[in-house]
Amino acid sequence: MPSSRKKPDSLLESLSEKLSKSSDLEQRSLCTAEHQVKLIYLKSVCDSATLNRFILTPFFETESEQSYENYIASFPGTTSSEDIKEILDYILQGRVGIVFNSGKIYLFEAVRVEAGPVQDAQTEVIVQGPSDSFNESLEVNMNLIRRRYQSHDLKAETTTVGNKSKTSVAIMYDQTRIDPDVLAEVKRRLEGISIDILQASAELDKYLSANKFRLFPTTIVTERPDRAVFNISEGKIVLLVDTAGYAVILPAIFNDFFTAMDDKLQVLPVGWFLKTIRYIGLMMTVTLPAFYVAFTSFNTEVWKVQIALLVSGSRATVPYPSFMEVILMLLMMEFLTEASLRLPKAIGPTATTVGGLILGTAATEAGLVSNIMIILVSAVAISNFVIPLNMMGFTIRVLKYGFIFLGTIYGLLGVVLGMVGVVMYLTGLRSFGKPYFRMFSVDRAKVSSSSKGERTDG
Amino acid sequence: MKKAACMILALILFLPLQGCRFKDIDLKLFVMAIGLDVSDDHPDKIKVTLKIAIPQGDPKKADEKVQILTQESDTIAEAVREMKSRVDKELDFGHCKAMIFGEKYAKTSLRDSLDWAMRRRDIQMMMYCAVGKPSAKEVLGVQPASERIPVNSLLLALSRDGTESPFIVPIFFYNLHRRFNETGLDPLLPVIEAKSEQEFEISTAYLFNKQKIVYLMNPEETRFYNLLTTKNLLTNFNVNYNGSRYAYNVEHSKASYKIKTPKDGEPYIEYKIKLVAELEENKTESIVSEQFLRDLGAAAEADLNQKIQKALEKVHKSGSDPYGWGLRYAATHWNNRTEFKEWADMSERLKFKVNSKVLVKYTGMIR
Repeated sequence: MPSSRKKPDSLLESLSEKLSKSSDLEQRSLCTAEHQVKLIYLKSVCDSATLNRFILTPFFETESEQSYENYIASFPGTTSSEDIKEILDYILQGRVGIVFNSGKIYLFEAVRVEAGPVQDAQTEVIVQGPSDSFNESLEVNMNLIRRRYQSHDLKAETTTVGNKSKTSVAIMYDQTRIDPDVLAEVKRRLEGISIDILQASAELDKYLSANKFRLFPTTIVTERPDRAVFNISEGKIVLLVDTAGYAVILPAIFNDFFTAMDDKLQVLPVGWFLKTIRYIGLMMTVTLPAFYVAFTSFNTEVWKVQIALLVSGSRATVPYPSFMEVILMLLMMEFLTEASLRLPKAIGPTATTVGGLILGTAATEAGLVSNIMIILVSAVAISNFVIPLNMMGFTIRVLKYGFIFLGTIYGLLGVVLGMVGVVMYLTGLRSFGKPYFRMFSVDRAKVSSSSKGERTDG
Repeated sequence: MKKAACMILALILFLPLQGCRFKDIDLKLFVMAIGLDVSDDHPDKIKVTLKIAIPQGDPKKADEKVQILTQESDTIAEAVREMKSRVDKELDFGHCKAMIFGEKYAKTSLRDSLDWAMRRRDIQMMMYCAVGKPSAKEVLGVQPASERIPVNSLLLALSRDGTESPFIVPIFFYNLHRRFNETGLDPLLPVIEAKSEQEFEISTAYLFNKQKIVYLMNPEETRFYNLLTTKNLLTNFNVNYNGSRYAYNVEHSKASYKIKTPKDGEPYIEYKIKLVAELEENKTESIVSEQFLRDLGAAAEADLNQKIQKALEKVHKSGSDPYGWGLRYAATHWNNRTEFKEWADMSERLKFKVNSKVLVKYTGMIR
């Protein structure tokens, strides 16, 4: 490494060479009668107002080069470096390189962050309780967490991920409650990530997991600061990704995905009821279509006579076997959900009306699908949305096709087989070394009663 | 890779376990009830009647459609196979909930039909069995106006899900089969009598020994049977008191019995019955007092004691044991080799004592 000291011009030359063909590169010389400095920065990532106010104006007001250097060095964000690679990284991050005649280079922080204001949560809406959500700025996100968790035990370590994107990732945790093994494991895996670009938190989740092919999410991706704080208090780690707007919480257990943040706000029985509803919804959305196939085509005696005759009658005009009917209608439903997801807000309701109401009614009236089928598909779709976290919702959406397959080939036996299989798979799954299917994340014996009080205000 | 191969292998090995073949529900015909009769022309042939439900597409329409198939053959299995070639869809016995034996058929033997139903995997053991009068076919042909699903009225009556008549003895198939094979417990079957095209009546029951019909219980005896075997039977009884007739409705009922073998005397069975009742019908215009209710209860006790004792003696004399006294005796005595012989010996000398307690507690809604 060539030392940059004593050779300001050669340093600047090599920097501008590396940053050549960048139209947003700015190189300036500031001169007065007494002293002279050179600036190098990328104007697209630097805030010009900061630049004018804290670099340009004071330069012409200070008398000597020494006093200006002292002035610059006194800023909290200013660093100095000799390594040309490091300097380059800093400039790319949005710092202004100020080269003095002595050959010393200061990197003044003038980064311009383009992030919207803190907005209401979009994907995890709750009825009552705080409604703010993470945004794209790491600083803001850390602020949102710190404000809710004012403890000196809350640590925030920062690393970067991504060879090109150099995205900073903050690891936040409560050092008194964390499992050090998990922390070490997370750090080890973060270091092991070798990708060019990291843009979304969910991506991090993908690269962090040990097993590439898995059915269930083993980390929670959330946009709610209150969920992040609650989980920190339960001894989990929160990863905040700069520019992403979502936090990753790990390790996660199955039950976490069925907890909405307003469960705790409810009266206890209501909270239990809501949670039970979600698990019933889970069972329904996964097994109903498979049971339909199994019961219409294999084990017709399971049904009550009334329903058997009803299904039989309404299926009389349906030209294809029951599993085709189910898969067709479910696919229609998936199209509907996907379409209304991507559509502009103004057209969304129209699509659902046309698709859901008209298509459903027309299909039954034409005798292409049975009446029962429409009820079933709607029940499946609605109960799928009961799951509060999207990642799990998507998994469940896919899972039910597996069950339909089993139901088609093995009947009732297949559905039972599938359930046993899923439970076996879940019990075998680990999230950062922690058993995934454990139903309660906190080891109640370990958490003292005093900390329980703290947890409720998170 | 190895794991995936193992999983696929496991799935293939599971294939034969599925039990049934993939066949859509609209390609099946649901047999709701089977009727078995002796053939009119050939006494050695069996006449099988199937009542098949035709599904309705529109649940709002009330009318039911039924297909009744009859086939005569040497065996039940053969008759069913022959019927298969007369229909367009697969016959499915999964929803068969009633098995009706024609009166003539029941008088010969039920064993072969029980054996057939027991062996078939798609016939559920929870179907109801009954004797059809005059024939099973005629009973199956009855279609009450209140019926919306084929055979449902029969099932509702037999299962006590619908009407809760004290004159109906519900007998499941598994129960009947057990009664045919258990020592000390004998079969009985309710009798369904077809009154017209739209009406049937179930109020009597046939008692069997292990081979054949031995006795027909009349409605009152059937009601006593139900009173002694079920708790809280919904019924009423009439009683004569002071020269006029009263009726009381049973709110709670409880019956238990003990087999007593005193060293110096005849063995006897003592029934203890406890009824809590309310006055339902009073033909006089007298004012009902507490003393009156007590006296009425006492009159009812005497009446019941005498009637039930008579009924029990009649049943015992017929040689059938639908109450399972023999089984109880065997179950409460230790010596496996001799206990049934002992029972058979003392059975001849068996006496009955009935000790009922009727508490007419309420006067109805009149206070």
